[in-house]
Amino acid sequence: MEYVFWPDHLSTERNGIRQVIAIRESGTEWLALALLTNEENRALNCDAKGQKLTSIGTWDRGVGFRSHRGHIKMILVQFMPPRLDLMQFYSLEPISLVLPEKDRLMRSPADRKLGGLGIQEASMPNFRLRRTINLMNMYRKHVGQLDAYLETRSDPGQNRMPRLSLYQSTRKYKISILVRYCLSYLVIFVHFVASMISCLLSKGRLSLVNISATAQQIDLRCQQLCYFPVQYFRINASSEFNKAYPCSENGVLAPNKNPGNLRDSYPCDNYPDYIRFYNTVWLIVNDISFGYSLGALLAENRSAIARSLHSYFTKYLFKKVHCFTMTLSQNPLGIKLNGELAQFLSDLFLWIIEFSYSIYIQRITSVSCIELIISILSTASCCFGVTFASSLIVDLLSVLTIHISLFYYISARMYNWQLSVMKSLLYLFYGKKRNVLRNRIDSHLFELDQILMGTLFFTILVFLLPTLMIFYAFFTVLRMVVLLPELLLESVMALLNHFPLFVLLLRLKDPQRIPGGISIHPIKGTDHFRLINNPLTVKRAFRPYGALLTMMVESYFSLSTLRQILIGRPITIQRNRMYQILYSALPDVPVATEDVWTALNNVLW
Amino acid sequence: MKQPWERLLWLKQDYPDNYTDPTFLREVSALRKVQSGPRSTSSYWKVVKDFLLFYHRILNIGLMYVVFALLYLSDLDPIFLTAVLTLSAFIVALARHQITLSFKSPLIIMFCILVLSPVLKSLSQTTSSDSIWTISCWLTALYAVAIFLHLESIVSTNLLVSNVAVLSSRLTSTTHVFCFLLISIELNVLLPQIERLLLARELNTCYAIAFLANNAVVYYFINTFLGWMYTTIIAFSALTLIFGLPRYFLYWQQHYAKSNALLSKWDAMEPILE
Repeated sequence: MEYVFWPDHLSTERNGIRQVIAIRESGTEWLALALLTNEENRALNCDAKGQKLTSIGTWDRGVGFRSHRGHIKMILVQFMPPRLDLMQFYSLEPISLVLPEKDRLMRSPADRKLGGLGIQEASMPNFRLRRTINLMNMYRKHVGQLDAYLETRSDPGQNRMPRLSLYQSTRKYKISILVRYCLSYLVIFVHFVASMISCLLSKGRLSLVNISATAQQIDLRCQQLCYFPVQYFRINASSEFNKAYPCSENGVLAPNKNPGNLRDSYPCDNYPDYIRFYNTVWLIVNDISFGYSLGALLAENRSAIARSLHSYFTKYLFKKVHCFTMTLSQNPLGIKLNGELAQFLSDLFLWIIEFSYSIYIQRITSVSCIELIISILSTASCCFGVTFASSLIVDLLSVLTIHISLFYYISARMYNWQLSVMKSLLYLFYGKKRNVLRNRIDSHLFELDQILMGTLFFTILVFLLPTLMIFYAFFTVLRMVVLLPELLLESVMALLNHFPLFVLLLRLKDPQRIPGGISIHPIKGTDHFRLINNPLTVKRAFRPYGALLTMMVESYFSLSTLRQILIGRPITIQRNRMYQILYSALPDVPVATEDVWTALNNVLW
Repeated sequence: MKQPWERLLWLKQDYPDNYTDPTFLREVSALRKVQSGPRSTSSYWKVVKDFLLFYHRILNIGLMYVVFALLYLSDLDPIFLTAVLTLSAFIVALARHQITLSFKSPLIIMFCILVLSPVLKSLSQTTSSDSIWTISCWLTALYAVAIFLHLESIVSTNLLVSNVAVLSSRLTSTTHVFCFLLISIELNVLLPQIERLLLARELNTCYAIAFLANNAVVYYFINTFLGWMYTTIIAFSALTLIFGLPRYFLYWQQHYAKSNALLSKWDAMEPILE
């Protein structure tokens, strides 16, 4: 039994009985190309060029397809031939909007368990249906070749140009040498500067990227800038470039050492790159246009915002915190605390509050200073986009609430120490002790003096625990309240930076361009089948966000977080983990400048 | 091989209804012998001695309260008392070991107590006195239970130290706290050890003297602080504890305790509810 993949438009042929010309490469099914008259068919057959092309049967409108190869049953699978020039194609797997090597980050734990499946899939890239689909994607090229061949035979004088694809045609106009020089030097310069900045920001023991949202944003833009030339070459340049610098395992351009390993490359391999590239460009443009409106809004209402912010900051960052800390030392809610310890802690925190207020909070939150900051923000928002402004706001907020974070870390540390000491003393209580060598709990007979000392400390710690617990709980709540607007702003930034806008619009405009797999349905009343392209689901397009949301829930709203809070481990924003997922359309390491230089030289000259 | 016969009616056993186990006659004669003779119980005086030892520990707790009352109610200089007690403790310990005693660990403990006494004093400062007396009462009761059940010494020591920590917030100065903690440890940890040692070496006269002195001190103070009514009541309950309760215990052991394997086999079966 054999399958014939049958383009829809062939069925509309009306002029009598025609020969069905089909193509088959090794390991594929038949792909019907065209319906030819007997003379044309004969002309084709007597030429050596037409070896891959065979007439497999006849087509008559009334009768349908009738096979020449009577002993083998042939089943038609109808499909709409994809237009590669409009970047339509079929694909077995959903096209990936993230880099292939970053796909593992998106998988949920359940998927990770089934990791073996993915490996299987990758190890048999050449099974029959996949090859056939690759052949189907090239349908129009084969038809073109056939047409060209037939025409040259009938009219040898005419030399027909093969049709150019959508973007190859954009490269047709000539660029002068001078402009080329300027362009290449500009690209190299920008790339060099961007990669240097990105390197500076993310290298080192105390990488700035993890601390500051602004650094994170700058780093993101620099990495995008670094990746632009690579993406541009990949989607735009000639096949020589792709042969020399195939998309290697880790996404870095690397000269191909052994060309024998080269996979068959198809034009549609680069389409995901195209989508990613233009998505990024569009998002940047969007960002800046949003930034214009936000900047104008800020600049207009500068003084009103400054006045209200001043009163809010003074009230909530100084007066309220001061008041609550004072209350904590005086038996809050009627809970009897240890007076001395509570007094000491409250004095310590009050001192920090007053110190930080007089040193910088007062100055930063004065009306004139806020006005200045707002004008800086509006300028930044106009020049670099709304994400840059919001990242500045996030950083400013974390600077302004540094005293609260400090309280939180101090109380968490003390609480944690106390708990761990109490835990080891509790072992003593049971007559056990930790065996460090075997990493287990052993029974042990303690001497009288050891028991006495242990119980003395244990009693004291038990009596002091409620006091520390109250302080810790209060500052944990305060810290969470402070973290909330920062998290909110960062989520908005993540949306603006990585929204799959281009994909969603493509889905509206032409779902054929974002294939999410295929499905084959039987056609009622016949023994034919129909092959349909399933466009990428919206859920799949938002997969990075799903992963991010899962991660956020895992790290902020889960039982393990609650346990961490209960044992006094500090909770922090893990920016690098958060962005590892969102950076999935960018390679880990920016491409080296020399590689881009050689590639530029290869392409332009 | 056949399952051995069991005296359980609800089991389906592979025996005829009128089956008589060969052990039956032997068991019946043994049972008659046991039932005709008196049931073996513990000796009365042995039980009295055990209760006496427990009573002695309670007296030690009473001594601690006597010291606390002295420090709390009258402005006695605690240092003199502490010095005398500590010295005697050292002397007794020398006598016991009869070799050079290691001074290191007692000294370390003493200095630690000295350093921590301000903390101990402040631990429950904000709690009201009523709550302190209640907590202390409960802790003492738990301490007595822990001693009675022979729990690990660490549990009772913890309860003791917590009790002292709770009480010490009511004392006037840090010195008082230090002295009170040290005396409490000496009275409730070291003194029982010494007394146990006396019994073990069969120095009964010495033990009797210590016991009587202990009684004298406690009852004298009860009489002074609470009046003869309370003294009479407490002394009467103490006598009941020492001489009355053992009788009751023996009665229980004779009639209700299931110590004899043969007897409990022929007793009425109690259902085991799960």
